Amino acid sequence: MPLRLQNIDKSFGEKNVLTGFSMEAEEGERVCVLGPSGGGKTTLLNIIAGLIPPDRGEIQRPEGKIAYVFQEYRLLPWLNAEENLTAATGCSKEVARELLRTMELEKEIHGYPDDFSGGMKQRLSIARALAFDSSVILMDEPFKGLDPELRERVIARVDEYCHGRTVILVTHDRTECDMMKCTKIYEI
Amino acid sequence: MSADKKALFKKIAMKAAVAALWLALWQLVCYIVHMELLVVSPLTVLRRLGELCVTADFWQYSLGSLGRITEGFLLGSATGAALAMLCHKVKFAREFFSPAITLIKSTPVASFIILALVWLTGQRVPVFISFLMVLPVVYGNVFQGIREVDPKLLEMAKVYGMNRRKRVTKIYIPSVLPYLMAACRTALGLSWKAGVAAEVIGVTKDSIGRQLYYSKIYLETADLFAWTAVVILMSVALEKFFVWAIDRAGKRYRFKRM
Repeated sequence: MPLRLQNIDKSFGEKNVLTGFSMEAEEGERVCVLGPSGGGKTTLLNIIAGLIPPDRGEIQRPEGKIAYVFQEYRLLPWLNAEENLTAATGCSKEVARELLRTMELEKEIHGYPDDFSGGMKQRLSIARALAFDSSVILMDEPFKGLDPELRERVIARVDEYCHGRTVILVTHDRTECDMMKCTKIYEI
Repeated sequence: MSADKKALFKKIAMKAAVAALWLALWQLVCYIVHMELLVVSPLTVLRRLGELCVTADFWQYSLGSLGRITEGFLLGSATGAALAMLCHKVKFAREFFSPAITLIKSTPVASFIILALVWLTGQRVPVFISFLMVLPVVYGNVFQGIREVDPKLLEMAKVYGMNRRKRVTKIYIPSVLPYLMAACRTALGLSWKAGVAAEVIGVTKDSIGRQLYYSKIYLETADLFAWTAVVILMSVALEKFFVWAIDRAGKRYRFKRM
């Protein structure tokens, strides 16, 4: 079943954030949502994730769970990197360690998020989403703050791990859409 | 000597110097007043404490008070925490219990002690009074702690399908522990003060309070000071123990102390 949004309206008080927004992503398709800061991209992902309801419009979600790479990481500061993955997603320690290695965080398995740099937190947040057994992955500016070389390596690995899953990538950088091989681009 | 050891040595030396200064000040006041009925010297108190320590009665009274106050403290903490959880979940419960909590906080402890003497047997009065003093402090802090749980983490838990048990153990408990710890520190001191006051007024059998009462009746100022020192020492020791226990329980959560 595809992920489909039709004529979505959302406003906060007087401010209209989304007006008549529609999009569609087939199973396993990668879709990019581009737009400037404050344009409603995060609101859109929150609506898809079911965290906030739209004011108007219809949403059709595919079967299965949804993973989400939040812009502000949302990691549990009292758990180490490995525990952040196992506690949130229910994955095994082996899977968690493999993903941490994939995200070049193998030395930080027992490290705590408060001791991490922004880029490390970002990669841990990505690893958590990849560890979650989901059919859809929502990514909100997931590669922000990574240096160009690391970003390239991380995107290549995310690309590999996202095979067969529907990806909604929110960014303001068109090159990230290309690197993630997005087949559709929506502008907000 | 490493920098850490130097810092530790400096800290201990500073504390020792402060303690010595206070003892000297106490001795000076004693010298000026020159009347043991009003102020006894630190040495006299120490000597009296030494005499008391070797008697079986001393341990019977001290452990009796410790048991009652700890019981009241634990009951108050458990009830306060449970009530905070209930009130966070059920708005009606919050509205219902709010006047009772305000009443407990603003009523003079002496009024409760006298009421408790009418309602309960002598042995249970200090337990009940300690319980009453601890309850609103733990309730208030735990309630605040639950309210301060980061909603963004709860949203994350929702997206990732974390079940209720996981939400409690991985999000709520680590978030609330620093608040509980702060509450315990405040509540322990309160429970000792109020519990011993209840023992004094109720002349509870096998208690420090009763000994304080007799010190007053027989004008044994050295005993009064010695028993007060025992209360202070036990209160500090108990506080250190509970903070250590909670700290140990929460170590794996790496929570920040308040």
